[in-house]
Amino acid sequence: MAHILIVEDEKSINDLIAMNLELVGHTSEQAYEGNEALEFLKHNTYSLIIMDIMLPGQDGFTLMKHVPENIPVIFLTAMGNLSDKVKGLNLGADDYIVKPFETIELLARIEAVLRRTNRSSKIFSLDSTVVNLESRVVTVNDSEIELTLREYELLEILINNINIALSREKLLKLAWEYDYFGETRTVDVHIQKLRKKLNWENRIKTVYKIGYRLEVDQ
Amino acid sequence: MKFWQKAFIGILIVFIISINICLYLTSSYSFSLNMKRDSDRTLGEYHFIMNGVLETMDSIYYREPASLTPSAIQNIMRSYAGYYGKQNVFLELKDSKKVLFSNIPPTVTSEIDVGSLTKDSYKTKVLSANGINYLYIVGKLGGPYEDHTLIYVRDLSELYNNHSQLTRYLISVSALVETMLALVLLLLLRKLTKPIRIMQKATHKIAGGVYDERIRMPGKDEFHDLAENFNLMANSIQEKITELDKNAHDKQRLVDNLAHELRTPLTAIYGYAEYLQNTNSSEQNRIKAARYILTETDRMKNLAFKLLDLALVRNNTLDFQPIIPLELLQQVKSVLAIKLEEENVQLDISSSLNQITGDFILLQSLLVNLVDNAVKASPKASSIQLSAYFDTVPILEVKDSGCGMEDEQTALICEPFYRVDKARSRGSGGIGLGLSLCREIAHLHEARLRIRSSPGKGTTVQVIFTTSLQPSENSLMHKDI
Repeated sequence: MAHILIVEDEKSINDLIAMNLELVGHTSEQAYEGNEALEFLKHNTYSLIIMDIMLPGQDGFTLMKHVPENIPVIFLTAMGNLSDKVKGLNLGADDYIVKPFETIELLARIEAVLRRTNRSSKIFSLDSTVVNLESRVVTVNDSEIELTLREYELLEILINNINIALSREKLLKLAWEYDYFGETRTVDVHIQKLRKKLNWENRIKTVYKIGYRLEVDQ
Repeated sequence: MKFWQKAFIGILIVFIISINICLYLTSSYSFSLNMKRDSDRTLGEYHFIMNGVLETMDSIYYREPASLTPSAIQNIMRSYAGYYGKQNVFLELKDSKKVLFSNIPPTVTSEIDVGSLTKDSYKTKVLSANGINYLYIVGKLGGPYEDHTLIYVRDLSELYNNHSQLTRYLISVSALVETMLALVLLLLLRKLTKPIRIMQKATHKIAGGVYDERIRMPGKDEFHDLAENFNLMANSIQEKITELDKNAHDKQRLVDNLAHELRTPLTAIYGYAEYLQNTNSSEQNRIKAARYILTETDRMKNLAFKLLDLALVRNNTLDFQPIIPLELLQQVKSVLAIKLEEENVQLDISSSLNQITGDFILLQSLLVNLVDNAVKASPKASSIQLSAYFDTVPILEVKDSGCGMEDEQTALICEPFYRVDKARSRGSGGIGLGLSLCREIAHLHEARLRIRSSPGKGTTVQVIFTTSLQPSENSLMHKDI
C-alpha cells in the first residue's frame, strides 16, 4: 500500500497516526519538526504527506514550498479558522483536517486523496476474493459476484478500515450516507449477505458490543 | 444653521438697522433745518411784501384818497406778484371776504384756512395740493387796512425735491456700504471660525475611529489652548483604545492557545481510546496507547489546575501580611526538595531582608514556579541561587546557570502557553502557564518581573517590589544570614 510521511510535533498524535496507518496496511515515516521533515523529503519519496502547520523549525506553510509537486499533502492542524484553511489549500494542499479528528475520518480522507491522485492500489484481494475498486467488480474464485449498491459500499468501507472495528451506527452513516435511526439490524442483514457471498465468514468478525471488523493478517 | 451663519446674519441685521436709523435721522434733521431756513426766509419776504404793499397803498391814499381803487390795489399787487411769481411765490389780497387780487392756483386756494386773525398776527402752515407742497402765510395788512388779508403761498417743491434726492442718495450709499460690510463680515467670520471647522473635522474623524488624528492650531488664542487640550484628550483616548485592543488581542490569543492546548491532548486521548476499542492489535501497541492516554490526561489535568490557579490569583482577595523572607525561601526549598533531589540540583538560599509584605501562599507559588523553571533549564549537578536582598527596593531573585534563552524568547516568555523548548517542556509536563501565573502574582504585589538571560550562561529572574507596601531601607538587616 502507500508509503506516507507524517510531520507532527506532538509525539502522541504522530504515533497515533502511524499506528492507525499500520493497521490499514500503509507504511509510514515520522518527522517531529520542520527541518527533520525537509531531510526526509530530500532522501525519500512518499505517496502522501500528512503535515501539521505549527511546527518547530519550519512551519507547515513554509515546508509546503519544498514539497515536490507530485506528492499530495494533507494539512492536519488545530488552526481551524477559514483563512488558514484557504491559505493551506491555496498553497496546494489536497485536504485540510482540523484537530480533534476521528481516526475513521482521517483514514477516509487519506484514502480519498490517494484515490484522487491514483496512488491507492486498485485491487484488494483476500483469500480467494478479489475486489477491483476501480471497476467495482468483485470476484470469488474468478467468478463474478453480484452485489447490490449498498453491499458494495459497505464492502468498500470495510476495506478502507481494515482491522478497525466499525459500529453499526457508523456503518449506517457511512454506507447509507445519512443518519438512519432505529434499524441497525439492516447492517447485520447486509453483513450476513456479504459474508456469504464473499466467503468471508471468518474475515468479517463480529466485535462484541461494538460492531464489525474486517480482519487481515498483518 | 452654522455658528458663523448665525453670527453673520445677526451682526448684519444689527448693522443694517442702526445704519439706516442713523441715515434716517440725519436726513430728517437736515430736512427740518432746511425747512426752518426756508420758512424764516419766507417770513422775511412776507413782511417785506406786506410793508411794501402797505406803504404803496398809504402813499397813494395820502396823495389822493379817491384814487385808491380796487384796480389800483390790483396794479400794486400785480407788480409784486409779477416779480415774486418767478420765485414760485403766489400772492392774494382780500378785503374781508372779497378777493381783491389773487394769482394763487385755485387748487391751493380751497385749502387755505384764514380763520380768525388779529391785527399784526399771522399764521404759517404747510399744505399739499396735487402732490405739491406749499408753505402759506396768512396775515392782516394792518394800519388803516385792517380788513385786508394778505395771503402768501410758496411752492416748496424744490425743498422736497432736494430732500427726496438726498434720501435716494443716502439709500444707495447705505446699500453699497451694507453690501461691502456683508462681504467683509463674511470673510472675517469665515476666518475667525476656521478653528472651529478644523476642530469639528478632527472630532468627526476621531469619532469615526481615526484615533491618531491631531489638531495643529497656530496662534495663542483660546482656540489654540482648546486644540492643545483636545490633543491631550485624544492622546489619552488613543492610549486607552490601544490598551483595550491589546487586551482584547491578548485574550483572543489566550483563547486560541487554550483551544490548541486542549485540542491536542483531546485528539490523542480520543484517538487512542478508539484504537483500543476498535482494533485487535498487539499487546505492545495496546500498552503504548494506554500510556499515551494516561500522559495526555495528566497534561490536561495540569492545564486545568494551572488555569484554575490563574483564575484564583486573578480573583483572589489578597491576604497581605508581614513575611520573613528567609522562612519563605525555606518553605520553597522544602516544597521542591523531592524534585531537586531527582534532578540532582543544588538550591542555595540567602536572605538579607528581615521583612517584606505580601501574600505568603502566592509568593511561595511564584517562587516555586520560578525555581521549577530554573530546575528544568539546569543541567544535572548544577546549583540555583534563590536570594532576597535590598537594592533601593526589596528584590527576590532566582538565578540559574542553565541553558539560557535568546532575547526574543525572553520577550515572549511571559505570554501564556509560550514555551521555549516545546518538546522538552511537554516531556516534563509543562504547559506554558507558569510565568503567566508569576507575572499575575507579581502584579498583585505591585512588583514586576525582570528576566535577564543569555544563551548558555543561565537566566536570572528578579521580582522587584516597587510598592510602598514594603518596609523602608532602615529595616534592612546588615548582615547576611
